[in-house]
Amino acid sequence: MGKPRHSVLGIRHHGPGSARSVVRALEALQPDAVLIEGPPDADALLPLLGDPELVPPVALMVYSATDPARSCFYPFCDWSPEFQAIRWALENERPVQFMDLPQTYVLRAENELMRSAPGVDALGELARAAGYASGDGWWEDQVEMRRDDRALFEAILLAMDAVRQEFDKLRPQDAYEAKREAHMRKTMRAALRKHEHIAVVCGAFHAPALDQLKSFKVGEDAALLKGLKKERLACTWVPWAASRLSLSSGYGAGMQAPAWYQAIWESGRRADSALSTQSAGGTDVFGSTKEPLGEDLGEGHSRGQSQIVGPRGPTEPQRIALPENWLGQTARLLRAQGLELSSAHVIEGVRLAEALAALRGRSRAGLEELREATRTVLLSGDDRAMALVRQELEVGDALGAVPESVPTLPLQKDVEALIKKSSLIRATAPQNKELDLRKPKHKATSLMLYRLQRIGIGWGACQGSGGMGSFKEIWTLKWDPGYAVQVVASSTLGNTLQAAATQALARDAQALEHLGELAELVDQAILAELPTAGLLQVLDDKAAVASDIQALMSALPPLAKLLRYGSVRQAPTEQIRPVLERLFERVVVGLPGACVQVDAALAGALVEHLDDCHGALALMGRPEMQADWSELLLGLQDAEEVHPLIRGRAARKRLEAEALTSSGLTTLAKQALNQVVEPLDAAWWLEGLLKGSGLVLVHQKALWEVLDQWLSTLNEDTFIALLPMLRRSFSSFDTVTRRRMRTQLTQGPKVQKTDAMNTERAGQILPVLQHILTGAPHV
Amino acid sequence: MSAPESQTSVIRAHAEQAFASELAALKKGDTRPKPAGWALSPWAVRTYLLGGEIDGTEITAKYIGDARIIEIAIATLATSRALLLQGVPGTGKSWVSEHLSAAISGDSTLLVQGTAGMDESALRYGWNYARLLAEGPSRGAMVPSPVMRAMAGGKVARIEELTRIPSDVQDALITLLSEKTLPISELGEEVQAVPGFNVIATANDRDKGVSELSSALLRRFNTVVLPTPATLEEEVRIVQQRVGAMHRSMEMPTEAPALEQIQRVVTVFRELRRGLTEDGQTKLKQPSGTLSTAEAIAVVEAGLVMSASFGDGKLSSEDLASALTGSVMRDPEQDLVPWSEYLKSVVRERADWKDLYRACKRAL
Repeated sequence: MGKPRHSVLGIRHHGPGSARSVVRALEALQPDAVLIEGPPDADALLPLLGDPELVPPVALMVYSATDPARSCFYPFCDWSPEFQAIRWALENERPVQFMDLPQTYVLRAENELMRSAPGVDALGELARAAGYASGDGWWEDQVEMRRDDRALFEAILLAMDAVRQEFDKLRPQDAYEAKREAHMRKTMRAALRKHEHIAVVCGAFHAPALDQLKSFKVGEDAALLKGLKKERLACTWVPWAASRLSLSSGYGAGMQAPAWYQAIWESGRRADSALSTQSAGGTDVFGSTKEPLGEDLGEGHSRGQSQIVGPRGPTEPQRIALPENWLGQTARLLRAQGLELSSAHVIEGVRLAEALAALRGRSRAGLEELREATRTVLLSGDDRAMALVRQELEVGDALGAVPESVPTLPLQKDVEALIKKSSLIRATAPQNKELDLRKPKHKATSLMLYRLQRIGIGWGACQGSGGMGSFKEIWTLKWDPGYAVQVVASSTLGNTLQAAATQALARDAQALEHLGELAELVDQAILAELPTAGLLQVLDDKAAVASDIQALMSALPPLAKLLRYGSVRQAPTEQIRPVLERLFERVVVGLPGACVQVDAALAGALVEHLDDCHGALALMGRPEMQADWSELLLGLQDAEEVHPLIRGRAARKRLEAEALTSSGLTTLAKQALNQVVEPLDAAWWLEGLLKGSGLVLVHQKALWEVLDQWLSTLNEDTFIALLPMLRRSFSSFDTVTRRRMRTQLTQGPKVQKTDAMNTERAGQILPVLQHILTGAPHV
Repeated sequence: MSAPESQTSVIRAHAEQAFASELAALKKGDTRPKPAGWALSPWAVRTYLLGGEIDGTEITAKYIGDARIIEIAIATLATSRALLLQGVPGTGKSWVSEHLSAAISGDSTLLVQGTAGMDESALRYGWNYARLLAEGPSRGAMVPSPVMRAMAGGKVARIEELTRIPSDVQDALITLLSEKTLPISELGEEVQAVPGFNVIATANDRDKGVSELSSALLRRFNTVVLPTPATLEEEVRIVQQRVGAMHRSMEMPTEAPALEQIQRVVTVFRELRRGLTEDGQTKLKQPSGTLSTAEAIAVVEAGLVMSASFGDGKLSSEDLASALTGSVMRDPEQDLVPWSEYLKSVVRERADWKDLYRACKRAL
């Protein structure tokens, strides 16, 4: 048996160490062609990866031509082994192609080839056998962080072969995985007919099934792939962002720390270039010695020990200063946030990280150790800034770019199609457009405009709907050339405008802090006919932790309105009810406490919210809620410590609801308006009671009298001081009420009747006066 | 938290006494290199704290929880950095500190208890005034502090409740930790620290009215925060173990505390502490108190005493309610809203918690 005609390089899909090893292996092997685990549907797009205008991270997007929402992304970054292998092939002018099961089969629903959740955690099992907690940690240590990659791929093959044998015994292989491997082998056989020696880059798990090409029968593989239906597809490269890399999609790698991998990759490259200047000629990666995977572990131990006990010796010729760099960057980031960090912090952090790595038997400090060093040394145990470190440093803000020659995006296509259908013209000068929602075309246009707003395209602004229940909407349209960019930028949110708007809605919901704004967003979502369930969940969650009672109260009325009237869209609003009920409960629990020890301004704001909620509650028409509310108002009305303005208002609301009787009101008024009470407090109470309408004064004679009495007890200074406030209360009454009050005043209350002199009784006093003044005898 | 091995006449034996045989076994089987001045290698210290087996001797786990935390603590000490253990009461700071120093130095007694009234002599040295007057300043008249003795002997000094020590006294530690020397100006001498010297301090990070550490001092410590137990099971285990032990020592005639009740108390504490229900569905407001495991233990204990003295000897919701309410509502005004919201929206909704809801509602 001569030189093998195929070399299988088992990798982890996003692994900087794997990427580096792959490039070195390809250099050493010099294969005639390279096969990559990826969708052959996109073979035509492969040369674009060699375009200098293409900057990773980018993603290969494969989507159904008929329904762009069914799509699949394959993200590539600088340190993706696939990306490096493809670039190597392009640079060295070797044919390169994808070999996975084509997406044209996978995306076709009837084929039932959905990517099933990985039932077997092969790496995990192997890692647990080696004493690691997770497969990722093990792989990281053994492959990605490895510096010496001699015989690495051979060792991976051996290890994976052992794992696969165990697993295939335990459970039958996944039908989907079997089909994929069959197709990969089919592609390999075809390539071998044309080329002498091929290199195959695939996920480590598949490596044994591809390497043992001869033990699989051509006919069996063909049978597996028979009868699959095709879907019409389109492919494109899209710019990707580091934050998207941390999500799971496409390859399902779900990298938590892309920037960290970038750092490993770059430091590896630096080491390589340093090495190549030292000694020309690479090492044979497929060396004949079969060293076990644990080889580096042992070495790491001895090195680790020397680190723990004494200072690090110059044992590593081309040491990569990764921990120093990483913690240095962390320190810079945190300094920018105002933390006082010195170089001493970084030094101590590196020492701790390396000691930890040694204690754990690792050859180098990994992300885990550096995180712990950051928290323990740089942040003094404070966890709060760790989120920032993760976002800014570990995920990063890397943004990819694609050349202009790539095909357009599904979202672009969708938006273009919608605009075309609406026959609106993209003009930069503002123009008005009236939409009649009963016409399907107009309704679609309105939906489009609302949805565009959600993804940050404020092309149209709705000037009003002409009242509840109206079918008319008046829009002002003004196009901005920047909107085209915005469509592309939003393409990561979804492939159709609807999907993107839904996604954007979820994002906005998370970002909004104020509950009232969130409630408004629910309204907007309903106008755009987007699903509101997630939004309501966010609202509910935020309401649970909200300590600001005003925010809680401000969310109540818009929701109640939606629930009561729905909208012209006839969207289901019933799901609002439970959220609203919980919100209401929170208001009921929180409000009494919030009304204590407040100043006049805050009390005023609370009163306004109280009015709104009272109205909203009336809309709801729920007796048990009304009862709770009424109890709450009673509590507010009677509680001494509550601000008088609120007390007055609560009384007014109870009066309106006929929960407070006329005599009850009189009693309250006597308590609130008398000499014992601070005049200012009394005036506040009065304002709370009367604001908006003074009819109560006209109808409640007893109240009128109490007010009159109180006013007459005020001394001049106090009266003048209170006058502006009283005037403010009274000025809010309408003219009819004021006229009636004037009439009542001129008619005068009963006491004025005593003005008429009783001459007979007055006469009786005259003799006494005469006696006093003149000394004349009393008769 | 296993039973001490030797039944001596003291109420509580030091860690190095109670676990002498474990330490001896570890020392015997320890082949890894030791940092200068250490009695055990870092790996052996790890085994001592986290449990395991060495040459047939079983090592009990001293710390139940995340192994990483212990690893960070050991790595800190191995790089000769001072260690600051932070956490709410009841998370086992002193316990970890004691066992770390017992394992590293074989001596956990070099202890300074931080108080507000402390002066520098507790960290540096004091004088035996009789001898000072008789002999004048001399080494013999000096009373060294535990820290000074640790420096001279190459051992770990423990400082409990570091944040309770007044700031100006704390400052004495700065030179001590960075220069590793303690000058004795009266004698024109100094004590230089011998390898093996280190400091483990503990501090309560939610305590109010304490002396915050200056950034200069904080910079000399690696800070490790001991978290509250990660899972419900872990916490229930700790509470059950501790309550069981105390229950026996009080010789109460009650039944063993029902696991179900302990679970409920721990669940209430965990949910309010995290501000989220265990199923992750409902967010909650958090009360101002710390709601530590130690407090959960106290609630169950109080409930036991109630049931033994006034009830039927069986731990019921009524027995727990008042202690639970008192424990959650540390600040009657501030905590009323979180607690009543929790009762209304969570406790009431759980089908088999109705009795607890009624009992707590009455206790409010």
